[in-house]
This record gives sequence, structure tokens and C-alpha cells, in this order.
Amino acid sequence: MSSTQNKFPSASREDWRQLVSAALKGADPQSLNRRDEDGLEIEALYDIVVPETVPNAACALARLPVNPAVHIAHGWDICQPVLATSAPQSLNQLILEGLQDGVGTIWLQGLEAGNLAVDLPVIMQDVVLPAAGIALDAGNDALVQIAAFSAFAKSGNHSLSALRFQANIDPFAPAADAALLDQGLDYLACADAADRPAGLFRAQGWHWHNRGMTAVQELAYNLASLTEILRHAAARNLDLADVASRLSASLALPADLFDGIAKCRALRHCWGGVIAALGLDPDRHRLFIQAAVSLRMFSLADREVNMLRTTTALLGGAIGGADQLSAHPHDCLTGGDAMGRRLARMQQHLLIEESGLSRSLDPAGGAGFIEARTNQLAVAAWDLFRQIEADGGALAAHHAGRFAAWAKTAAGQRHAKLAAGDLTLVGVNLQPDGNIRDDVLPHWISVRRPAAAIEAVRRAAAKTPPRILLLQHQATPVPQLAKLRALFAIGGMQPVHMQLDDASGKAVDTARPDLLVLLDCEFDQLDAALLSALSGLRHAGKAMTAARLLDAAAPLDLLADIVGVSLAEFYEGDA
Amino acid sequence: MSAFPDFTKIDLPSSKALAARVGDLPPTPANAEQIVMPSLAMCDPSQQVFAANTQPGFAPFLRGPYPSMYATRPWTIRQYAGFSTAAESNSFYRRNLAAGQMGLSVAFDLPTHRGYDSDNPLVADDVGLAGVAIDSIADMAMLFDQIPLDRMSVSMTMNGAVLPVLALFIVAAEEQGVRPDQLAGTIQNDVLKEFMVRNTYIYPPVPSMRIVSDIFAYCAAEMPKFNFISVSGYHMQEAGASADLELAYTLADGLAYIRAGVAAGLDVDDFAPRLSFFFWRQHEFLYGSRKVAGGAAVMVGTDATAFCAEKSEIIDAAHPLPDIRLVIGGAGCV
Repeated sequence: MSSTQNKFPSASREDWRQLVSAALKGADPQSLNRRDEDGLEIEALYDIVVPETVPNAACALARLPVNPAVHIAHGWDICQPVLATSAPQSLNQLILEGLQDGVGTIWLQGLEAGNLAVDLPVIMQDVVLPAAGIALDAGNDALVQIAAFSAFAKSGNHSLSALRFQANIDPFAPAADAALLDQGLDYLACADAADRPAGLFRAQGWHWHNRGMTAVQELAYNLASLTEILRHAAARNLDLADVASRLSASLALPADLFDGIAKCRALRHCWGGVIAALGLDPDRHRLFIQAAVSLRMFSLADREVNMLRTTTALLGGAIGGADQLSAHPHDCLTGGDAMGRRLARMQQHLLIEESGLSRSLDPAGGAGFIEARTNQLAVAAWDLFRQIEADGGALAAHHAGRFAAWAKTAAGQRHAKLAAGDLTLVGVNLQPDGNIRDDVLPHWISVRRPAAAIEAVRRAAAKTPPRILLLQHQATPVPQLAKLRALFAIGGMQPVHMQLDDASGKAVDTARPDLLVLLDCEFDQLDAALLSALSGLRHAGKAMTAARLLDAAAPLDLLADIVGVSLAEFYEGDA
Repeated sequence: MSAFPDFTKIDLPSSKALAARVGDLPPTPANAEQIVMPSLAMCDPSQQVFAANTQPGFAPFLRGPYPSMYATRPWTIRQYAGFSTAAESNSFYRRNLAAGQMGLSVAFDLPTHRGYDSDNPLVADDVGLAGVAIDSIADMAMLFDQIPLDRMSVSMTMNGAVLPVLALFIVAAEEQGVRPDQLAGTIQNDVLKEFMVRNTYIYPPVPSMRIVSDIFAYCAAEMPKFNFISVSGYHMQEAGASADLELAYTLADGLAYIRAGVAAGLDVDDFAPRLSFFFWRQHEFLYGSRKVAGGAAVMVGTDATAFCAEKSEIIDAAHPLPDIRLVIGGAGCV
């Protein structure tokens, strides 16, 4: 203990409670706690973990990536998406652009199986296959794409098993055909050893996150999906150790970097539980985790803020020790450009080379909140996983549409929070800024983004700007004015502010507002001429006091109503 | 083979039960301070026990200077800015405040720093560059026009010409009807680092330190909400220092200011709580996060030892941008 440490009396949690209570004027410090989307309580302060002495050669499984030495020496695998919506030659240029910028693995999204066998030599031209990793996101085309890549690899005297090739079959992903489960296992059982890729199955938690799942649901889904694959492999008498070595999972990284860290650690912990129950060595079967930045947190408005979200999210995956990190460009939802793609790549290089985030394994280990949050998520995810198992497993849940229902319900609840002003999105409903220039690409239309509801309102307001009149009685400034301007700015609306006078009735008639708001008075204080002019608006519910507007349970609904947009589908989770 | 496990009956094993063999790990490179970060963060039990027995709001403030920290109030978003004329800067400030900035951080031009009027031919090329030009009470009043100083935290980077600038700030507030005891913010007033690296001093060291301690005395008596010094390591890093040099010199400077205050007859408990600090943030994320906490612990330790202070200094986490590293504490390797 240093000399500094000796000089101060210890302070207990109770001492802290008393100090906080005094600062809160007698309120209970527990009032600072909050709950996450899964209903788990998050405290304002956690006790620091005092670890037991551990042997130097061992540590908790949750702390380690699959290959710690490589992680320290070279960083994680930079796996960047390439959306295959262009012609083979253009797609080839996108792939080469990424590889030349230091990307380790190309994540091929939206690739169609149609002419792949013919197109692949063009798509992969000049790609040095043993060096470049390829990760598929092929959905129901997975087996066709595997076959095409296998043939292409053979044409270059390679074999899939020797390449960094991740087929990433997920029979229970959104819109997946569960037949993939048998097809994938058939492939594993029947294909030549040289054709069996190391990464055959991947539980695609990232996709379900983007459809709306909460953190606990996403973790439980990954566990249930991989367990179902193992169960069916066991039924076929396949070597479970071999199958387990070909499994991986994807996780979404939210802007909340602490949750990103804890999710990675919790998934490794839970997976260790699955592997141990199978009688295998958890240490030999650490789960390969692809942590990809959440797309549902992206916004079309003020879209450069997406870069900041992405950097913070990547921090979570980096500190959480993910094996592979992926970041979509900030402008990817509408197509994007070369600058966006390059910035997304450079974010990862910066975190590895300049921020030094791969040099120490599990640097957050031992921090009170991180350890507690990891354990909290792991326990909750395990409980939900057991519930899925009790209900028949992932296959039954998939057939019953249970995963889709969870995602839809969670998205609807998230929208309700947004509409009520309880969910903050920077540049969207906090400091709103920026125009919405383009439409979302069809490939991303299924991502349930909370920002989409506000974008719908802003689009409508931009197309037909609503006429909003704010009437003020007194001459001195009123605080409601700034609050109302801030509210209308969320919807991209610019109200006109007028002070009441004898000519207000005529002014209202002339202005023909779509909405009229009284800032500092009630309707019964208005003169007869003005009341007469307002009668139509009042009858239609388009005239109200500022207090009613500002106290509304869901102010976003009022904005949507002004421009004739229905948000019902967002509440239902259908949007 | 045995039956597939029934997971509905299997509890999640504890993390202790799921141990991993670490294996041989490559060494990590030493950083600029010749400190080698561990390849795998292994908690040092003695450090953890020490940290576990501290709480936010309690000396040595390893876990933060305030008991509830950001749970009740986030850091101040304060963008360092100032340029051209007082009117131009005022307009810029008001736009930023409307866009969500929560406090002001005033940059003055070099002539103002060195005590020259803007019409002095010696400084003609520097007027209004790298900061705002302030020559008079009229300029200062314009700088804060329509900015309510009783509700706005204002940081001012001013050292050499600290006396006239602080005086003008106080008078500008009075002209708004705001008393000195209502003013919140910070004035840098760190002249020692000007001699070391930044160079905008006016007087020699001894009289400069007299000015510093006079400001301590005035502010301690009249401006209880105002931090009257920001002991700055930031400029040392910008001038090339490594993090250990930055911390060491900043702490040494802080000690010199405390000595100056005590030598001027002030009670250390009257002014030490208003000392603030300003550190540079490197983008070595894990390393930077503990620099601030480490600085707090060492400074408070020194402070208590030398002067038997009952209270201690605060870390001003309010400078330019929110630093996510400041919110991560207690991690094993940092």
C-alpha cells in the first residue's frame, strides 16, 4: 500500500449513502437507479470487486477472446461489410478497396446466389484468398453460396477448410428457413473434409437486435440457436467437439459502450456453461464472437452523428474482447459513399493502433459495474435460454414465431418510449438537425430503427410544411416559447410566433393555421372576434394551450397528427 | 453417447467454475512513459482493497469528487472558443448555447493575454486571432451580452493579464445586476506553466505569484462559487511532455500555489477547495482514464500531508469535451 493510501480513512457504502442522501435533500440514493429495456435494475454506484488471488496462468473464461496472443499482437479481425447490390465488377472494386485499407475479412451482405458461380471469378478478381477472410450473410442461399465459393476456391487450388471462410448459416435468423439446420448438418456430415469451413454456423444475434430484440433476448437467442444446432448434431451422432468448433455468434454493439462490453463477456460466460454441460472443455471451445455495430441506432437525420455512435459502440466490442468487429458506414442505410466506407474502416485501425485497445486483454475486468452488469446479463440470458429450452428449443420457437414476436414487441415498446420523450436520440429528438435526403435501401428496410418514426414526421413536414401559429398574450418572454420551438424542431416544423392584439382574429383568418397554440393564456381570456375565428380549429382539435401540448403523454403523436402521419405501425412494432 | 443435456435443469456455472488457461502472451510495448501495460489485466488485490474502501465524494476522490457524480448532473459541455471582436464571439457563444452547450470557455487573443491594447502597433498582426480581443469594460460587456452571468458557468483562459480581465468580468456581471458571489466558473490563473511552456506571462515569477495569491484571497472571500485557478498540465503535453511529466509538473505547480496562498496568510481550507485542474487527454484510452484519478489521489495526499487540509481540490472535468475515459473507474489494469 502506498503512502498516499495510508492517509485517508476508509469510506463505506453507508457513508456514501448518507452523503448522497444529503445531496439529494433527503431522497433515497436508490432513486438514482434506473432500469434497462429488460427490466434489470442498474445502480448508480457499484462496489469494487476485490478478487481472490488467482493463479497467473488462469482467469475467468468470460475474459478471453478465442486467440489471446493474436489479439494482443495484431488486434481483432477487422470485418467490414460490403453490400452486394452492384454489378460484379463494381462489387470487386468495393472488396479490393476494403482489403487495401487493411480490412481482414469482407462481410458479404446481400449477395444473391443467382449467377454466383459465373460471377464469382469477377467478384473475387485479385483477391488473395489465403490472406483475405470472407464472411457470408447468405440467409437461405447459404448452401448454394458455399458450393459456389468451394468451386471457386478449388479453381485456385485452395480448399474452404484452409481458408478464412465463414459460411455463417443460421437456421433461426429472421426470415430463415429452418431447413437450413438439416442442410447445414448434412453438408458437414457429407462434404469432403477439405470443403468444411471452420465457421459453418453463426447465431445471428445482430440481425435480431436490428429487428428489435433487447440485449437479454439477443443473448438468449444466440445460446438457444447454437444449442439447437448441437442437439441436432448429437441426434445425428456427429462429433460434438467438431461441431462446436465450427460455431460462432454475432452480437450487436449499442452506443452504450458498457452494455457492449458486458454483452461480449456475458455471452462467453454463458457459452462456457453450455459447453461444460455437454462434457466438453469450455476452454478449448471458446466462442468466436463477431460484434457488429447496431444498425437500429442509426438515423437518417443528422447522419454524421452515426459516426460518433459507431465509435462508442466499437469501444464496447473492443474492450469486451470481441474476436471480430464490424462497423457499417454512417451513411450505409441510403447507399453511402467512399468517404463513409473509409471512415468506418479507419475507426477500427485507430482503436487498435492509436488507442491501444487490443494490447491488454479484458481491461475492464475487475471494475465493479462491468463485473456486475456482465453477471446480471448472463444470469438473465441464461434464465430466458432455459425458458426457450422448456418450450421446445430454438426450432420450436422459430416455428411458433416466438423470436419474431419478441423483436416486434420490443420495437413497439421502444417506440412508445420515444413518443413519450423517454428515449433520446441525438440529432433526432435532442438538438434536432439535418435534412433527410434519401430513402433507406430495400436491403435495410427491415431494420426497426426508433428514429424512423421521427423521420416519417419530418418527411411529411418537409413536403407540406404545416402552418403553426403561436399566440402570446403578454409582452414579456415566456419560457413555453423555447420549449415549443424545441418540440416542433423535432418534427422539422417552424412555427410563427405572434403577440395577441386587436387584429389577431383577422390575422388568424388570413394565416389559416393548421395548428394554433396559446402560449400564456386560456381560451376564455380571448376576445369574441378571435374566439369566433378559432371556432373551426377548436372544433377540429387543432387549437390548444401550450400546457396541453407540452404535458402530452406522447408529444410525438401530436407532431405526427399535425402532418397527417400515423405512427400506429411503430407502436405495433410493424414499421 | 450420453443423452443431450436438459438445460432446463442446469444452472449457469459461476465464473470461477469456468476458468481459462491464458497461455503465453506476447509482451505489450512500453508507452512514452516507459510503462508496460499488462497483457492480461490482473487485479492487484492491494490496490483493489484500497479502491474498494473509497467512495465517490470522499478523499482522496479516486472514484470522483462528487458523491453522485454524473448520476445527477452530467459534465459541463464547454467548447473553448473566442475570435475576432467581442460582438462576433458573443454571437457565436449564443448560437452554441442555443444548440445545447452548457457553459462558456473564453479564448482571448494574444495581445489581451500580454496586456496590449488592440490599437498598439506592436501587436497589430495578432488582434482578434486565436481568441477574442478584450480592451475595455465595453468589450467585456459586449462579450456577455444577453448571456445571464448568474446562470452561466464561464471558464476563462487567462494568466498574464489576469487582474484586468477578472476585474472586467466582475464589472460586466455587476452591470447585469449580478454580484461576484453569484459568479460560477474558472479563471486559469496558472502563471507557472506560462513560464514553462505557454509564454503569455507579463511580470517576473515572484510578482506574478503575488498576483496569483491576491486573486486567491479576493475570490476566497468574495466569489465562493468561482474556481480561481486551473492548474494546467494540458499545455505541457501540447509542448511535448509525456503523461508522467505532465502529472508531476502539474502537481508541483499546484503545491507551489498552495504554498503561495499559505504564505500570503490564507487558511488552506478557505482556498484549496477552489483549486481546479486541467489535464490533457491522450487517445491511449485505457491509460488516460486513470491519469485523472491518479492525479487526484496524489494531489490530495500531498495536500493533506503538507497542510493538514480538511477538504481538498476538485478535478475540473469540465474542460472542452466530455471524456468517456473519466467515467470508467476501478478497472484492473488501468
